[in-house]
Amino acid sequence: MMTRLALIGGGENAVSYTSVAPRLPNVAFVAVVHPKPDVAQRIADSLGASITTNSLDDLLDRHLDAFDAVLISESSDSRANLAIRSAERGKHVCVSSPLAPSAQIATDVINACRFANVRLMVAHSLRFMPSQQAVKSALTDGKLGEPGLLRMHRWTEATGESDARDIVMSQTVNGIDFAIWLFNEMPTEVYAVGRPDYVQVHLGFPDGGMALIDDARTLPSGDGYFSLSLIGSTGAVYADDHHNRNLLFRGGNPSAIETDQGQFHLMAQLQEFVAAIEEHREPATTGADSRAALQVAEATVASLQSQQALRLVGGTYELA
Amino acid sequence: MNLPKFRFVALSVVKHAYVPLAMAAHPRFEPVVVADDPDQPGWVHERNERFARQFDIPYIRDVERAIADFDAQVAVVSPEAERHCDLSVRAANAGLHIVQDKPMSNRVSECDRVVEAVERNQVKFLLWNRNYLPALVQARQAVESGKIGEPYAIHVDFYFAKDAGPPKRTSKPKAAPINWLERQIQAHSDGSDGGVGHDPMGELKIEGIYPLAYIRMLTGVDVQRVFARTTAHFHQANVDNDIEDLATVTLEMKRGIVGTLCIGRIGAASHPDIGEIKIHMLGSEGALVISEARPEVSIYYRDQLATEYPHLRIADDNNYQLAENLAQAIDTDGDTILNAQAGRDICATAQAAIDSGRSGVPVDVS
Repeated sequence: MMTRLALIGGGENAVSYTSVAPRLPNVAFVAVVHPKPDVAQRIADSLGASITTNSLDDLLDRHLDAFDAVLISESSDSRANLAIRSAERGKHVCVSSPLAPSAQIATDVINACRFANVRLMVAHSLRFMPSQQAVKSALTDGKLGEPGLLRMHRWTEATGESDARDIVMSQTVNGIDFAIWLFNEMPTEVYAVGRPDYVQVHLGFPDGGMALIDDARTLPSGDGYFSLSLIGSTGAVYADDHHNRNLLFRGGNPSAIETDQGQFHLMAQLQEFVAAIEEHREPATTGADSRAALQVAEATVASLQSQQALRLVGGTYELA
Repeated sequence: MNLPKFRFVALSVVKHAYVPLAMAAHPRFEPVVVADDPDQPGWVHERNERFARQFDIPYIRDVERAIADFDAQVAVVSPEAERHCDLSVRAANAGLHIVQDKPMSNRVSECDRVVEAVERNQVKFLLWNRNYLPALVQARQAVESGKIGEPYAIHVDFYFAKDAGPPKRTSKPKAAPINWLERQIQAHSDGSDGGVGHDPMGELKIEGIYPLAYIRMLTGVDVQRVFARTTAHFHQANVDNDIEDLATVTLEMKRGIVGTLCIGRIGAASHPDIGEIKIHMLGSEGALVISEARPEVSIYYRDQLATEYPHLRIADDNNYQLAENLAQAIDTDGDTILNAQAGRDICATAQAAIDSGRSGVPVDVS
């Protein structure tokens, strides 16, 4: 069975799909939506898609029968609306993470997809990265015992304008999702500190589990940095850019160059999405997962603003 | 230049003896006597006597008499943690400069006594630390030379990949709780007795001094507020004694600097060497990622013992530099790299973290 995809938006993954598409024999990109016709055509040419339009509405009105599912790679503010409209017209939806700008809006998307009986997958890239897949496998295989402590650093270059709330709701939320995925439950305690271009979050899980996540947007122009470690009761894993860098000598101090993990995460995401459609099952990363992460992200923002810890009480986070 | 030697009295040598051994290895320090109180238990006297025999010096079961009779200028204090401060106060009152093993104490009030005694008697105090490890020296140079601009965040992972008796949930039903001191005495042979003492201590108290001293040295500011999570995740002795072997701490410091600490005694299986110990630091102009273990050499060979670390730390000059630091502080009436007030503040930070872990709310460091 061939699944026909429409790519909505020209996000950073758009070009990356070019290298992934030929490796997925049961997937065909048939349409590209982008407000700029020349960009839409360029992406479509690279993916082998025959349809280009400048809006989702146009695609749904004129080419409804030409595709089965949408990949939404737009900004987080518009994702939810695009997802709902696609679902209402019977299209399966794969949307970049986070699913929505708030947990409430995420609920609206989830309900829309459920009502329309279409698949909703949230593309948590972090979960599908080869290094994080190895971490998760080591945990689920029982090698690490009970998870105890997750540590994650993610540093990127300065953007000029930053806002701590924006960092949490667009970037830290993905780390939070990853933590929930590993501990397999919601954190019961949330505490955060930060400044406009930097956030660090402290999560407490039942049975003593804990996680520290920090996101910085202050590095000088150039490569970012990622580091993850998970300490379990019988073992530990360390996934670390520090370890995975090579050296380039050109005089003076050598440069540290990152070893690329390629586009395996995109391929794995697409395979999972298509498999969920074909097998009529929930995908590995659901709307409910994203909603949970958004709920914790909102608690993180509340902690930043109140400078207090929040505690999970009856399904909602309250000041401790 | 022929600088004078300092004669030191080793006041109790109950742990690994690394502090008095390090001091004795420095050309300016000379052990002249071991001393302890007469009412100490047999195992304490036994270890003291062993050290005295090693250096062919007397062991005197009377602290004040040993200080008076042997013309010592320095006391090297390394008893069980709860006796650290009392012996240091007595040494300070006798006019001796002090090198004290970590932790400074298991009680902040005891640290306060040392701060007061050191100040009143105008003696030097050095709390043992790892701030002169090569990687830490490199980190300090990078920060002080402005390579990362103004520091605003620092994160330290400080894991000891050591076991500590039976794993959690392996005790038999109705088994008696593990006695902390007995367990520590037994652990002397494999070096995992860092918490030796009557009062049970978790990792924040036993090892927290090291990473918190890094943070203090690299930022130059005090911790004001903490939020912590603590748990006994690995070892039955920690479960039985209601103390943590794994903790995370959010640190809020002066000048708006923030940070975190991950600390744990995570078990020998979780790392090929002593444990993952790293520093991540962010500044206005850049960032720094430091592995405490570097420089190191990897050594693998057939029939290698599982207990042998395959990655050998090299060029470690920490012990010499600490002793040298004290000698210079005495010579120049300067300060040591980790003085009594700094040690006291670190102890207070660790205690605040423990309190936060129990209460689930942020705690001010007082």
